[in-house]
Amino acid sequence: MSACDKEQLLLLASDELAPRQAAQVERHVAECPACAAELERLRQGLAALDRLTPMEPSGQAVERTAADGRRAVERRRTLRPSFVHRYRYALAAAAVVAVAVGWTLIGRLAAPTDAQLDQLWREPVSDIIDTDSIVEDLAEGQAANPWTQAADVVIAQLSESDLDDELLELEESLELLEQWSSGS
Amino acid sequence: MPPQADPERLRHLVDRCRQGDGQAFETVFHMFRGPLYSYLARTTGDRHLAEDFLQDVFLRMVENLDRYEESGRFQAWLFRIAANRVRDWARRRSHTERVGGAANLDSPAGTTAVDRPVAQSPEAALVLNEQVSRLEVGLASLEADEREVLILRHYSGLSFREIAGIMGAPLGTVLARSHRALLKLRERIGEPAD
Repeated sequence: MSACDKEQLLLLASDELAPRQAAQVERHVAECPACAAELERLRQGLAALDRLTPMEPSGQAVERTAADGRRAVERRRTLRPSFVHRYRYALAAAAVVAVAVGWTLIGRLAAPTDAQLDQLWREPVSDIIDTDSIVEDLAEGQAANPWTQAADVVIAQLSESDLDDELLELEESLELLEQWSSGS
Repeated sequence: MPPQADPERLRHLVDRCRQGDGQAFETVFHMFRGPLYSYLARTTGDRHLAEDFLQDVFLRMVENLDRYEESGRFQAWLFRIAANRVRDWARRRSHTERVGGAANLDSPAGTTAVDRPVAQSPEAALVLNEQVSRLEVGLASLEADEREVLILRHYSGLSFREIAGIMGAPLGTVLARSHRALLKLRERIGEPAD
């Protein structure tokens, strides 16, 4: 402490400085009459407070408070242990982790697998391009089966991607059938 | 006079209270009732009110036992409850109604037979009583916030840093307030010069 510091003087007077800091302040006080005088006044003020004697509540107040407090404490015996409160942060963290894991699992369970997606896609396609059914309908001369129209649409869409040879052949077959059904 | 409590014993008593041990509560109550009551009486200037507040403080202590974090000292936590109680009360009162602390307690001198310290001889008793009277009057002449910080420190035995935490004020503010209060008090009680 190179300059006069009122806060340091007060902390020294009340013995709240660490030993090294206290020694530093004391060195300054030894060289500064103003701080030395102020330190002494602070110590006298603190010493004067020591003359304050403890006060006591009335006997009635003591009995009443002791009894009420005791009852309040003993009621705690019937309450659940404070396990939840004591470990509240750990439990909250565990709950968050459990929800996150559960959400991921549900997501994975609910989502169709690649095989399922493939099946879903192929089934309607195979229904639509049921060539036997189409041929029968056309052979009996009935009105164009809506499925043939749908098959055209599906096949047209499929033709944009890589198709295998069977689908290409099917397309050619359907075109021939249409020509035949129209009498050309 | 700050309460002298072995920290380990206190920790054990608080644990017992948490588990519903009424006897442990009574031990803690008797350990702290004097200093707490003194603080409450001298800051409110009203003995009866201080008795009510004393009960409030201990019941709140029981209600909040599970919230007590054992990182800080138990008495700091207990006196914080008391200081908050006083603050709530003071907020509801206007500045002009606020009592002047110790000087308004039971007798004009601010002390009663219970409070007056015992002296060895009649002459010594007279001197002591006079000193105590001047002290009481000196305390009463301080600003409320100045008086509170001195009284809180004296009865709780806590450090200025802990008191700053209780009062919710920066340490520098508490130190400045205490410094000012102590010098005023020293001047008004007329302590002998160096």
